[in-house]
Amino acid sequence: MRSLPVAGDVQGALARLNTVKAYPLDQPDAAFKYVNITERGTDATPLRWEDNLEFWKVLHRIIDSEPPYEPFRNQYGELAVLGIVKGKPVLT
Amino acid sequence: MNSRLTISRRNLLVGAVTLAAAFLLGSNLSPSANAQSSGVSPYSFERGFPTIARAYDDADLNRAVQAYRFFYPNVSVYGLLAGFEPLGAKYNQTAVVLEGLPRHVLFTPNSDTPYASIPIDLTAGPIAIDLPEGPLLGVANDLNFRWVMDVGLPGRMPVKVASILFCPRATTAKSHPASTRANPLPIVSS
Repeated sequence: MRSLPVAGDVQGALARLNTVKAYPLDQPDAAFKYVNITERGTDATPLRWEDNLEFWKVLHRIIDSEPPYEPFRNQYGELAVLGIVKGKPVLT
Repeated sequence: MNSRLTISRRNLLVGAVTLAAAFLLGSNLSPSANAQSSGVSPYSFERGFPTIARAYDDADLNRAVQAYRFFYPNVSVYGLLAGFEPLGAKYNQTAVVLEGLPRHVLFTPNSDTPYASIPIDLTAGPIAIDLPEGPLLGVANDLNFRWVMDVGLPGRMPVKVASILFCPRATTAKSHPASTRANPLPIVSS
């Protein structure tokens, strides 16, 4: 979600983001909290995984946790041949 | 002149045939041997067939390269979650906001507009989002990094629509309590 800094008002744009209310439908009082991470650095990319085995471990975690997406069926099959199967430990 | 040219061509042809025969002869002479490398192909051949283990390994490598490329977006979107989690982001509890600076390494953001990242897990049930009026632009992605919907100013949603409901896959508009409201929330299934 992005917020436009109208007339250069970045702080106003940040404040607007905090007014987006997300909550479980049955618990309107349990709205998500917001943490401002502007002052803290982070690497939110897959760069640290993309050239090593972690890439496949992360992918396996996603395959395990997410409902399968039907149009990806063929690619799931290719992964299965490589040993990455939903709900199963990696074959070695 | 012409005849000389013809002769040299014939010689060349004979030479080529001889070379081919030598190859055939070579394999006939050493049938069990020991697979030889041609020097060009990485495969070893035995009686004209590549050794099978190598063929399977190469098929797997090719498969892995394609799978890597195909599933890179999945791993990429997981990078967002993993990058924000140590700073406090938590599914269904805590979202993060940031003014984009060089210390934030993300794929293709910008520093002109502050961001919020709101991690939603639908396994526990539907999540509602109430949007204030104002210049907000958002997009919902799933963990395949597939587009789910635009939120706010872009996309099909009327600007005045203030609430969105994200539902687990099995939920339908008809079965959901939100549909009994006087003004039903727009329902998005993951």
